Formats: sequence, structure tokens, C-alpha cells
Amino acid sequence: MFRLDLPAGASHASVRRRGRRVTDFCPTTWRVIIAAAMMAPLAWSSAGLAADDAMSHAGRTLNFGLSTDTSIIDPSITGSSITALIDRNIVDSLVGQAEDNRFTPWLAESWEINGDNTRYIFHLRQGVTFSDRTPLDAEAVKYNLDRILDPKTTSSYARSLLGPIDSVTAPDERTVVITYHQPFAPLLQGLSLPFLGIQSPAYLRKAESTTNSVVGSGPFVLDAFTRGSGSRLSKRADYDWGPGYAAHTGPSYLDAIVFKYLPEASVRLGALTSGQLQAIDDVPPANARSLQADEKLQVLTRENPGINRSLFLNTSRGPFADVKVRQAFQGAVDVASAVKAAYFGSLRPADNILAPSTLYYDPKVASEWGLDLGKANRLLDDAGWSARDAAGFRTKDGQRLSVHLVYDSATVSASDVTLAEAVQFSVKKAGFDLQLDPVDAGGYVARSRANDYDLAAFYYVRAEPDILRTVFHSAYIPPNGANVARVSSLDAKLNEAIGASAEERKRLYGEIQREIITEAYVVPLYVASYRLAAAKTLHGITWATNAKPNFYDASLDP
Amino acid sequence: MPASTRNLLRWGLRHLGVILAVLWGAATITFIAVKLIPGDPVSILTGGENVMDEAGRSVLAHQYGLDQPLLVQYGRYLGHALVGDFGQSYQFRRPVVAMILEAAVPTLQLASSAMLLALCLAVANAIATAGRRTWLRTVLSGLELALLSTPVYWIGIALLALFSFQLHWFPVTGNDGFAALVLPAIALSLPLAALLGQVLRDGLEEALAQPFALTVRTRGVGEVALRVRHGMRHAALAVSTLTGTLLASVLGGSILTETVFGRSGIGQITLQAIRTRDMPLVLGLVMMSALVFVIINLLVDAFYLVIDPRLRGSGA
Repeated sequence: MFRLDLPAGASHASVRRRGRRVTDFCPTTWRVIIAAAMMAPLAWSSAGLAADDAMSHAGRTLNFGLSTDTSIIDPSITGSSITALIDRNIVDSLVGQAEDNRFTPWLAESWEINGDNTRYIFHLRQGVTFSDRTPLDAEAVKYNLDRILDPKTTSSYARSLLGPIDSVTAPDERTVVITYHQPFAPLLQGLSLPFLGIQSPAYLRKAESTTNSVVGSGPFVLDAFTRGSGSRLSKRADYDWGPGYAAHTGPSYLDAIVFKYLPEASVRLGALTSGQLQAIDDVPPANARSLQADEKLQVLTRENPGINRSLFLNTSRGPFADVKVRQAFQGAVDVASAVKAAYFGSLRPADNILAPSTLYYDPKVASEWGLDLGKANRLLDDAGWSARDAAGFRTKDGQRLSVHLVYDSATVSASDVTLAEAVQFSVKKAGFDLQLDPVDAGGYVARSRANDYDLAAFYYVRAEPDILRTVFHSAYIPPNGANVARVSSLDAKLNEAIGASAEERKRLYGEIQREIITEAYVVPLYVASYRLAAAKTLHGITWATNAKPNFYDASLDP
Repeated sequence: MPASTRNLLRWGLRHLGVILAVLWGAATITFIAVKLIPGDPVSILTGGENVMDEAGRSVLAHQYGLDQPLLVQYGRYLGHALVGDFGQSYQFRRPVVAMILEAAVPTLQLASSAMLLALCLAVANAIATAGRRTWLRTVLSGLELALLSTPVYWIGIALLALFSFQLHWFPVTGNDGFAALVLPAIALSLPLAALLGQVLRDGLEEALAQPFALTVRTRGVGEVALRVRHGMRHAALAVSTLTGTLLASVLGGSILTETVFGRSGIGQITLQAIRTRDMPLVLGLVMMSALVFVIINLLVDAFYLVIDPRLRGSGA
């Protein structure tokens, strides 16, 4: 009746358990037959005990409940973070990035970069094989990168990580050379992500479609991927080329990982507390405290690097075309109270456009802005919004100071809606009429495309500050990307920073962060975080730099 | 050609015509609806993080024929659909037909076990309570009303909370094995059983009030045999008119059931397709539902003849 995930070679345990189950089961059946109604509760409880027993011996299979599904499992042709989470166990990367953002060897033992970041030479490790037994050599790496660059592959995110590549060559079996038209510094960070993980060319060549399978050289092998249900991974016993940041070498401790898609938060929580799952993601903020109080459970939180969840002010139209109105809005939002109201103190209010764990995050920008209602009122008076209507909102030439926050109601969480309502309440004091416009996915795309919004909100996860280019470069004004503030003043600095030296980049990204805040292109809200709840028997979870859990070092107590 | 074969041929052609007309109508209405609602198919195609320059966007648009005029897209779509090719899903990047066939297996398992269970419950309920056992009848009709008014969603969570989280009898999860099918099938079947039970009981009570019931009883036939062999036939006719409603609630219910229980299937991909405006998949799913609907209705028409001898011989 119950699915048992037995550890390989645990025959003793299973024999013993089978024996016990039989002796348990006989009296149960007997009781049920003889004294049905009276004994029913007793029969229930003994069946329950048998199940408890089976579950505690679940062995070294980690059952992980996911709140989101992914439609494509090939990391090269999707930007899905769930695909990244699953595939991190299946494909290896050329380089690894440790939690402190330093780069470590992985498939590449060493690498050389020339002075102006236009030429990268990678020296590959020897003896690495894919799970289909074919060798991972320089040709295999070249095949993967060429495939991503080929427009026919229709890769979008992975391709954007590679930047303006000129050529990929493999002069010998163990050397890969990547050259650029113009300097490009973010390559190593891009290569460390699962989206640029190396897959088996033998598999890629013969696969008709790569959307539901992936063959890599990682510590786990994908046994099954079922859309709308989950994925099943099993360990590779001969794995011996883990990333340099890992705590151990050799095969993984876990025998298998089963990712289960359970979109209902209450179902995920119930499955975790009843021991059917050992870990779940996307813990609702309201439940985090009660889970933490449970002595069998732990809650692990990791702050995302990248763009904080922020309100982006559309600088191209309406009241927000005026910098004074934007600055007034920024000063009118009581970020700390709003975040506390929506997230029960479980998330940190943001102080900058970049999250603290992002490379070149500048802590000094925090002092450039903050709640200041007096200043907000002064700025609005200066900008000509001095009159007020009967409802208390400011007006100018008979027009009310209304701004519209457009969001996709299917992807925005209830807590984020609460947060938006708290912001609405807070800016009303300065005379802003903030309207919340929930729309569906298609409506969101249509309105951002038609420039029919004043505010939008989102976050991006990436440890590399080049993510700022995706959000503030004029080439990515919708529909081409996520520059919803429709800013073009930062293009020059963003372009220069792509290939500059480390010191130059630090200076440039510092200036960019400052300008984004002082020009009030955004109102940063909170540092988005990945929240995992797990049984206390799960140890050794480490974090990838995209704030997703890594399972290579993880283990489960019996 | 003997007359009977000719008649059969004519019958077949007429019904094939009906099927095609329904499918064409469904395809056209969905096509218009999908094109009318706002959205950008290319942004779905780029997969999640929408980072793509103009050149990349036009490659994708061309590859999926989205740069063609609407009429051409429509004509092409119908042409391909005629030979059973519904194109590629935007977000899954796989042939729609393959996706639907794949998803149909777990959904059929779920739907058929739920239907079977619902039928058993409803028939037992109707036979036991129609026109007798007033107290049981009152209790059961109350329960039926409650089940009909409760969302499948909630029933599913309640079942899970009791039988999976508390008692540990059944696993929560996915598509693995029979044990994982039990709770979803019960959740989906309860509202169906309630609906069927009410209609069957009414039908049965009506049949038992007719003079033939008295005739049968005077022949000395037992009460159960009367109900099962004679009464149920009349009641079954009433139920078969409900087929459309039942089919709709099975399809709608499967979306909710599959979501709560994390099962893959038609419900999940339907939800996903509509949510992301995945036009080829939406169109494929609508065509599939229309086809299933037409076929089931034809089967029911044929089934009438089996149930009710009075209808035989009147037609061709």
C-alpha cells in the first residue's frame, strides 16, 4: 500500500521490516473481520503505526516538495529556476562559484584570462565521463556552447549569459578557448550556472527533443521527468569530479532525490510534517514561525543575490516622467513597515537596488534615500502637484495624481499583494493615488508592451552585477526585456562595465547603483529569499550563488 | 449493396459530418478567442526569463509562423489539424498531440476509476433508498447536497489531511502506483456520486410508481430484482441525459484534483496552457474535449437503444 524507497543494499532492514509488517497485519485483518464497528478505530491506529515504521526507514532518498513546476528540463533552452535547481545535480559546469562568490575549479582544472577580458582559456580535467559513458572533452564543451549560440536552438537565457562571443575553439582534447569581439567579464559567473552546464553531445545529437530529458556528467542521473508531477534522480556511483567548493569528493551521500510537484502550500506542509517529504520550498511566511518551533523541523533561509524585489517607476510617461515626483514617491513609501506587515518580519527590507550578496554591492547607497514625508510633500509642491481634491489626493490642472501598479495576479503571491496595499496606504499620506491593477499573464505582457503602466514590480536572481544591464539597458525596454523603468541614461556605464577590470567594475557599478536610487528609478522593497523547510535529519545543504540549495554534500540520518 | 449496409453507411457519414462540423466550430471559436485576448506568444516561447533582442524574437516568430497574417495562420492551422497535426506547444516545445496522449493516460486512470466508483456508490444508494428507508434517505440526500456544494479542491485537502497526514494510509504524491490513485479518485468521485445518486433515485422512484411495477410485483418478483432489472433501466435513461454535465465535471474536477494531489495529466496541462496562453496546446485540448464530447454523445445515443427497446425499430 505504501511506496517504500529502500536504500540499495538494505536487504536486512527490509527483510526485518517485512517480517514485522506481516505480524502486524494479521491481527489487524483478524480484528477487522471479527469485530468491525467496535474495533475500527483500533485497526486504523495500528495501520498508522505500520506506516510510520515504513516511513522512518525511508533510507537515503530525499523527497523534496516543489511549489512550482517546470515545462522544460533542458537547461540550455529555458530560464526556469526549477530547471536550474534540478539540473544542478545532473550537469556539471566548467567552473564553480562558492558561497563567497569566488570561483573554483570544476570541469576546468584551471583557466587563464587575458588582460582585457576578451580571451578565456580553460584546461579541462581528465577522466570525466557523461552518464552515457562518453568522455567529456574539449569537443563536447565546444559542441554545447555552439549549440546554445545557434539561433535554431532558440536558447534565450543561456545565450544571454555567454555574451558577445566571437568563437569557441578546441585546439586539443583538454583545452577550450573562448574569444570575444569586445571585453566581457561576466563569463565565469555565467559558466558556473546550470544553464551553461555541459550535456552529452552523443545524447544531444540523437535526441529528437531535449525538452524532457538531460544527460550530463553530474553526481546524479535523471531517471524520469514527468510534467505536472516531478522528477526522479538517482546517484552515480562512479562520480569523482565534484566542484572545488564542495565539502567532500567522490559520489554524493544521497542515493536518490525525488522532486515532487505539489502546488498547494497546505499539501506541501502536511506532507513534510507527516514525514512523507524531507524538505519543501516556498514556505508561506505565515507558517515559517510554527515550523521553526517544531522540534523535528528546521527552516533554512538564503537571501537571493541580484536585483531586490523593487517597484520600478516608468520614467517615460505620466507623473513619473518628472524626477521630483519619482523622488517624492520614493520618500513617501514606508518600506520597513510595509515589508513587516506583509512578511511578519521574516524578510529584510531592501536598502539598494542590488541585494547584499551580489558582487560589487555598495552599502553606502543606503544613506541616499528613505522615508521622509516632509521631503516628499515639498517635492510634490515644487513639481506643481500642490492642490488636493476632496479625497485628499493631490491634483494638478484638475488631474488627480494617480499611478497604476500593473501585476500578473497568477504569479504574484498573496503576501506581495498585501505589501502593495501597505505601500498604497503609505503613499496616500503624501497625496498619491496608487491604483493596483491585477491582470493575467497576457494582459501584463500587453500592457508592458504598450507602455500602459506607471509601476511594475519584480526581482531577478543573479550574483553577477551585469544583471543590472538586463533591467536598466535601453536594449531591454519591453517587449525585449525587463527594463520596465524605460531608462536609457545608464547604457554607457553598463556597457563599459561588462568588460572592465575588477576595480573599474566596482567603481562603475557603484555609480550605477547610486544613480538608480537618486534618480528614483526604483523603490527597493525587500531582499527576496529562498526559504526551505526540512526535517532535522537532513544535513549538509549548501547554497548555490543563485540562492538555490545544492544536494551534493547533503545527507539524511537514517 | 444490401439496404442495411447502405443505411449503415448513410448513418456513419451523417455522424462523421456532425463530428467534423463540431470540431471545426470549436477550432474556429477557440482560434478567435485566443487571438483576441491580449498576450505575446513570443514572450512565452522565450521561456521564463524573457531576455531576447529583436533578431532573436523574429527568428522565433518566423519559426512558429507567427509573422504570417491571421487568415494564413488560421488556414494553415486548419489544414494541419485535418491531418492530425496540431503543431508544437509554445512553452513545452513538444508536439501537442504527443503531449495530450501522454497526459491522457494518468487522467484516464483517474477519471475512469472515479466514474466507476461514483456509479457504484450512486446505484447502491439509489437502490437502497428510493421510495423507502426514510431516515437513511434523508441522511444521504443531505450528504449529497453537501458534497455537491463542496469544491473538489476542498474535499481533496480534507481527505489528504485525514488519510495521508494523520493516518498515513496513503501517500500524498504523484503518479506512483495504485495507492496514490485512491485518494484522488475518491475526491473526484464524491461530487459525481452525489449528482448521479440524486438523479438515479428520482428516476427510480418515478419508475416504481408506474403501473408496470405493480404488474411485476404481482408476478411475485422480489423487490431487489424489480429495482435492479426493471426500475434501473428507466432511471438509467434519465442519467444518460446528464452525460454532458458529468463529462464537464470530470474534466473540471481533474484540473483541481491533479493540482491538489500533484498528479500529471490533462487537467495540469490545461491549466498551464490557459495560464500562459499556449495557443497550440489550448487549441489541441479544446479539439480533444470536443471530440470526446461528440463521441460520448454518439455512444449514449446508441446506448439508448440498448436500454430502451421502445426506441428500437423507430429509426433506420
